[in-house]
Amino acid sequence: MGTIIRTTAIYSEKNPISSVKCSCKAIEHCIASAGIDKVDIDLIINTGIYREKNIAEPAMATLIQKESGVNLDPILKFEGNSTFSFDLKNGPVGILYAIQVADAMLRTGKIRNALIVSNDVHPSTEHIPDFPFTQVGSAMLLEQSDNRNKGFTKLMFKTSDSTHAGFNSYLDIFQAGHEGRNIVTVKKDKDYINDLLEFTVRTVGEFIGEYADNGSAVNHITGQDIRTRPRQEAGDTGRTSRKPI
Amino acid sequence: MLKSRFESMGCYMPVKVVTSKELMDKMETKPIFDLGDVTGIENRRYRSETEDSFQLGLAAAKDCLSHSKYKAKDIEVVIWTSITQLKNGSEFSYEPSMSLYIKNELGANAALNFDISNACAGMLTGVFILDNLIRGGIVKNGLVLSGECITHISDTALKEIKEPIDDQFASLTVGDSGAAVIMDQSPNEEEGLEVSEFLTMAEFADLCIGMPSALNPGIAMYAKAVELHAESIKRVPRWLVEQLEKHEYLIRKYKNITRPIDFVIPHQTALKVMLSAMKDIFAYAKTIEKIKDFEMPELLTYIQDFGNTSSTSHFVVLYHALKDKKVKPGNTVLLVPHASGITVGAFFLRLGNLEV
Repeated sequence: MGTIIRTTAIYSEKNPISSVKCSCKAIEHCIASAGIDKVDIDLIINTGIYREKNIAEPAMATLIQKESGVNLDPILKFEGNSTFSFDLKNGPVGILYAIQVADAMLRTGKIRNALIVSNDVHPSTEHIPDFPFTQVGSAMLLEQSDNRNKGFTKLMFKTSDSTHAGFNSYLDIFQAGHEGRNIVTVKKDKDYINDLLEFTVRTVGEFIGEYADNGSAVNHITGQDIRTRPRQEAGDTGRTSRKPI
Repeated sequence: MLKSRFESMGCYMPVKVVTSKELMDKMETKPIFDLGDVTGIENRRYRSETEDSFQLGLAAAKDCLSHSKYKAKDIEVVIWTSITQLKNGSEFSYEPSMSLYIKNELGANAALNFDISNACAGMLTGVFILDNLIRGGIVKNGLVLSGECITHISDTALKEIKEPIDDQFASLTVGDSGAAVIMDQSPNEEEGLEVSEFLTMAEFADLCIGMPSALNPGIAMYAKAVELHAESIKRVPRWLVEQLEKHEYLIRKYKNITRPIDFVIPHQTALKVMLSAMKDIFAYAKTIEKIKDFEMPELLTYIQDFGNTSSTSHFVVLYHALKDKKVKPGNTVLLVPHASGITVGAFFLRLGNLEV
């Protein structure tokens, strides 16, 4: 039994919209292409970081569950299933940790499927030129395959003990004054991209060496789109030719 | 079968004590009720000028490690679970994750790390995840922690409550804290987590929202407390009894007697609410054949001293109950999360030799 991605979907509009609405659109497309009913969803994990109004409670996943109409009142209006929702946050790699968490729950039999959703929007839900992220809603439906040779075989995570000075974002709740719902501060060191690139390349190289027969088992490498080079550089560290995607 | 257990626990409570009377005295518009009488909360802890979520969580993690057989370098995953993510005093942190700061500060260099956000169900959501990571064979141990500087919402409520009935009254019930638990594979059949269930009743997701205030600097919580209570009371007792019935064989496993659950720790909202909910639940259980002999467990609470500590509430109570020797090795405990979402859960475990 391996954990597989059954379907994925993305959604975007020209201008930023509510991250709840954006996620719901992606969910709609994702479950439609999977051919399942929303009542069948066991788990929703939201991995987006930046959300409208800087809402801290409840989990955005809960608001997404409500907007999507997924098992809203399972105790009094039981439709055959219930759903659990929470947010998992870890910058842009949150989605990979969410896959690891969902994989564990699929292995233990706690869930039959998991919907991982994400998108990031400036808290003002307006286009702010200095905000470094473009809003794209994404949804991914995970489940288990009967075929043990299919699906995720190994997830490796690595953090640098020096990265936390390179990129940070926050809301200063006092300095924001009355504008706390509309502001976020993003700081990036000038060397951050180069440091991230170097760290990524080294980590991918280690992973390929340790878990992928020095690259012969890898057909494609994909990554965060910080610039074009990292994927190609990472791909070039192995012995075999791989296509960056 | 492989299962997880609570291997060690840690807690940190800020020193400053603020009474309910002190809070009421600061209010221009008094509520139509007495805060202390209605909630049973006499005191709560308040952060100092220099304390933030990170510091409270870190202090709890260090306390936890001091009671653990594991060193920081042995920890395989760090899961941060608070609502407030305050670092450097007033910075509500988004990136990098709070768990990364904690991991680097502790020297838990080998650990995976990520943050969870799930309102007051945060720490138990972390426990739910870690239990699956351990049983799924991904990790052998992990640290779940939270630091909550939640009294920022009290400060905002004190400035903004203008009506005798106001959505910010629940913000006056909270207290600050840090809590941590290390979980690992249970070494024997005699202790561990037997039941872990969660669901989200998202119909009611917007009845309690926490976000920055639009009127003053700071964060606020807007809770429709009467509706939240009314909708919960129609559903939660029924669901909990279903869980007790569904897992009856696991709950009776240790003690085939009429009181298989020694203690219950509900989310710490108000004393009268907790007591009446427990009575409803165990009165309802008497109507179900399989569990009709279940006697009501003893309610564990420190609400009078610490108020509602939000995501840490079950762990602050369990820690102090262990410290005060109210709870002992071998006791069985039912933890009941109930949080904005509305999220409800049931966790049943038998404690090993936890020293705090």
